[in-house]
Amino acid sequence: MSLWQVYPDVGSAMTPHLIVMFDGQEPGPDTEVRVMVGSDSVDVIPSATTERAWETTVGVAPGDLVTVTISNNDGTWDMPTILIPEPLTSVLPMRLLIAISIFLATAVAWWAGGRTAQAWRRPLPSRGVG
Amino acid sequence: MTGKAVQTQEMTFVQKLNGTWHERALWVYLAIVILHWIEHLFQAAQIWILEMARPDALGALGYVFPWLVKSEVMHFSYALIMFVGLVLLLPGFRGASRNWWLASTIIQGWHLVEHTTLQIQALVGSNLFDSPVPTSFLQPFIPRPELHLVYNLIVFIPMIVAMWLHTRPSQDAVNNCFCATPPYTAPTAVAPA
Repeated sequence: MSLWQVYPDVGSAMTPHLIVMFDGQEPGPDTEVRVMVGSDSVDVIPSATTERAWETTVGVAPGDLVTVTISNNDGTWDMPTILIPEPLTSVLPMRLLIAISIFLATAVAWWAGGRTAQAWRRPLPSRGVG
Repeated sequence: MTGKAVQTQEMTFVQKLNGTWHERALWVYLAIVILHWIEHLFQAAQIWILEMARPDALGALGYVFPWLVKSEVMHFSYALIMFVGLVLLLPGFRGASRNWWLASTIIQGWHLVEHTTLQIQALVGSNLFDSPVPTSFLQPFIPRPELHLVYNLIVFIPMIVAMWLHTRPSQDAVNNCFCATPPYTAPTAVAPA
């Protein structure tokens, strides 16, 4: 089993949701997944995007302690408690990069527009003519 | 226009593409690149400027065709088209402009490797790093929208430098195409005496 975080929220304020995946094994119909965040139980539903997986319906915050319990007719297993780390955010100055890119794309589009018109005004040399 | 390639029946498609057709082919290719680039920038602006939720930040096309953005086929196809274009148009470049175009081609080659791997993961149904979704090699360090925006930027910049150098008037003497040839002016009619 592996536990994944996904980041469905906005770029600057992402909170991870959890996906509990069963790797390479088909969980039986009697399998039940329970997730505790701290001392609170949170809702878990079968994942719409990932096979053999369940996911939480609300985000958890970095620093939360998460405990996953799997149970079926054969028994109950408590997974080791997981400390939610800080979400993966870019170390890149994205707003600056976007501003530079927009400026560059606009300037190039303007230049290319003029040069494309110039290229199409020029008659293509016909065969055998230098 | 002396010294330029003369189109003959014996010339291959690639020779024509890098001779008489190079100028038009280059600008058509750049138009495709800019349209794709705008789509990436639109999505980036949705995430980092408008602060939209990532699943909702689908770019301009994604508003109309949401499945397009989530399809690995679309991203792979574009990366392939871009790489093929860079390779096909490379022989027309000379001197420093060739080095810049080659740099862009090599970076796009790596970008294509990334998209090929993503496509294979989507087809096989098994993902790198046991991720629930197809994952790029460098994605454990940089999230995907940021990573692919940067890939496109570092392909775009040397490509534009190459085109700028290639179309300087001083290049006309060494080019085998009309990219640096002065603008065409139609001959003016002379009134009969």
